[in-house]
Amino acid sequence: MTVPLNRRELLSAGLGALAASMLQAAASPGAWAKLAGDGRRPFVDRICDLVIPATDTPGASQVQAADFVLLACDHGMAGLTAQSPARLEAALEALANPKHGAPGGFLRAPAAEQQALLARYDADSFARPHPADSTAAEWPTFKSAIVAAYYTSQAGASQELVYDAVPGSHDDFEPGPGFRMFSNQGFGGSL
Amino acid sequence: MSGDFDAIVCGSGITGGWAAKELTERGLKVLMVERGPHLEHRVDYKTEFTLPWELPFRGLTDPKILATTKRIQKAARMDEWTKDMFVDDEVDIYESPPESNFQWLRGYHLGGRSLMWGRQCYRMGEHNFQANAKDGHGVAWPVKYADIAPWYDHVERFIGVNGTIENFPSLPDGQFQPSMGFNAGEQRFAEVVKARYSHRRVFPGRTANLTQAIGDRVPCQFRDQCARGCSFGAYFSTQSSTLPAARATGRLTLLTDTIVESLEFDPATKRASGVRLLQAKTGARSLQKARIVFLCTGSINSVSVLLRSVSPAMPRGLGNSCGLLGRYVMDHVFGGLAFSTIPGLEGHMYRGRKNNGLIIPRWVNVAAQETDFLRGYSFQGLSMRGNWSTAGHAPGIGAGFKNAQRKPGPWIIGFGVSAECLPRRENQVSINFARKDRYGLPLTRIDVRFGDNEHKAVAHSRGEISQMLGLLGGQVDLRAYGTAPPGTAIHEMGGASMGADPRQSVTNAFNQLHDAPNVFVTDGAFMNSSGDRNPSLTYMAFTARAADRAAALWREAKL
Repeated sequence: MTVPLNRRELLSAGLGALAASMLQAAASPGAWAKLAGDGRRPFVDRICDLVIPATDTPGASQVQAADFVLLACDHGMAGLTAQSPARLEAALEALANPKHGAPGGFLRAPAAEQQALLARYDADSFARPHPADSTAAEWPTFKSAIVAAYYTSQAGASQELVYDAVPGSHDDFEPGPGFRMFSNQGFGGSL
Repeated sequence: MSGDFDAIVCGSGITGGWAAKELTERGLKVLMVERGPHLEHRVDYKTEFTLPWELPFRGLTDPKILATTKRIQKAARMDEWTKDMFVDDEVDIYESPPESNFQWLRGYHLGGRSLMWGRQCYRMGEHNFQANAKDGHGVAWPVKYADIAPWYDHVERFIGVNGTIENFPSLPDGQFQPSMGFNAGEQRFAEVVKARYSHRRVFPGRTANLTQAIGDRVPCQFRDQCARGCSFGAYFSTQSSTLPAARATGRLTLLTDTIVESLEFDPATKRASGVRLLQAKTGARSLQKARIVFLCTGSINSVSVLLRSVSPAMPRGLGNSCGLLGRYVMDHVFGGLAFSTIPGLEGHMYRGRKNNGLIIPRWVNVAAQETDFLRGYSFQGLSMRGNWSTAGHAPGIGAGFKNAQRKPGPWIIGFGVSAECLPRRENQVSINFARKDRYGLPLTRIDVRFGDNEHKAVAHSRGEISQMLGLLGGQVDLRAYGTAPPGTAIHEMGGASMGADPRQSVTNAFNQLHDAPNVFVTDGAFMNSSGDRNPSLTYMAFTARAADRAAALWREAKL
């Protein structure tokens, strides 16, 4: 009846990504509206844009990636919790405070400094093992929610990458320097 | 509805569609009964063209649903597009003891699971048909490969199976359309295995996806979203293929939202004299008469129908004079998963999502007994390039991080194993007459457990796939290698085992009940061994053969 493996499983299990399982706990349209007034949103919006900024295509905040991230937290996906944004903010505050003071030091910092602080935090999170319940250990999951939200959005899927709805054939080729990856490749069961 | 039918086909899935097609094309007037709602080709594929950003859950599924109404069905690897193709676990209930934990994965609608199936098409080999007689497990098959081979041909030509001629001993070739072939990752793996092993091979999967048009069915568009329904008709389903053929005869009547409750048995003629029907929406009951009945409601439901068909003459259920109805139920052992990266192919990419991968057909215990377990297993898998979905778990932020996602990720390859499940008498479908479902029908109980032989096979497969993947020189990951609960392969079969001896089997070599030869059981219930490969093609071939037999007997007025 079924093929033992599909593209989604291969990506999510094969490379250990948690993005797929995280997306399994998103939300209803009504819940999106509720999140619009969420007090956590300014911080999460900023983190979204630091991870995926606007370039020649929209950034993550422009595609409302924060909606999804907050819902991922509220639904407890992949170990995230409703307090995850606050925990992350506190961790970044701790990095920012020596210079900008608490509270809100991170959000008050200049954009370049925010970028540097988050880059430092990101690098540290991946550089060494952290206790499973630590904010640093949680960061890859949090970031995966941002990434998933962005590349399943219309702009992320079809402007930043190539959304190939009906390929029509299967062809091998050598990708040239201008090649841009397909977005609907093995995520969400052929996203 | 006219009451004048020559045959009643119970079920509209893969085998029900085939029974209706073959019988109507041979001149019989057929009533097809489907318990679920009507689902019309093309117009009812509601999510086929839905974009991910149009779905509230971006293509995946509400966790509340996964924890409640789809808590079992989620094992079918459904997504937000396809979830409504699967039953509601809180409504369509059954029993299974914790020690079994059988995952009964179903779709109750016109076309049944033919809409969501994996489309993998592999013939059973002669060694599969000889297995029971050879090692003494289960009931000996009353047919040989040569008996069924012409029907495999017949089915493959109609449904359209892409594949390659391989001349490999354990997996017979067939009537293939051009193969979808390998991508670069799959090709690399096939080459390293061929170079290392003389008795095992890797070749492209064989699926019922067209690579050449058949009638108004056009070739596959490589969207890899078959289970949403395909308006191109590019994969085989009841809707795309057998139902149009049956309808074209003008001899088919279709009745949806109608449950087959039981069969009526006439002890004087030793024939089933009718089918008791239950209207799903109204609860109204009726009896429909016909000279021939095809049971194609899916293995477990067909066995349940027969077990519910109790009468003074058949107090243990119709077809159960041998006491074996419901016994020898099987499912493939669905195991794995094993993965590896594939270095050195960075210059290769592909366009199109090939909904087919590769197979490593069984090589163990084919010519001789080589292992401490009986029979064997096969692997199926696929290769692809990684993408953004793994990016969150790697370092990096900002424009550079974003820009990096524009490039393909590493090549990866993954496999699952499908191991044969020995036919065991104690693996059983039964009826709990003390509990009722929402229609007031006594509850089906499923108790299927894997044994030591299956676990040894999976353990053996783990070592073998680890060695094969290691030939690629990448990072091998077997952390997810395990055994899923029975039912997860969605290859449930058996319960009305085929055999020559009426004392030891339920159905004969032409799928007829020994006790009521005008009843043909042609879904997976007739299977008396599972083999190691996807069984739907075999079900179809036996159904076509049985329909040919039924039509011949009908013409001779012998039914």
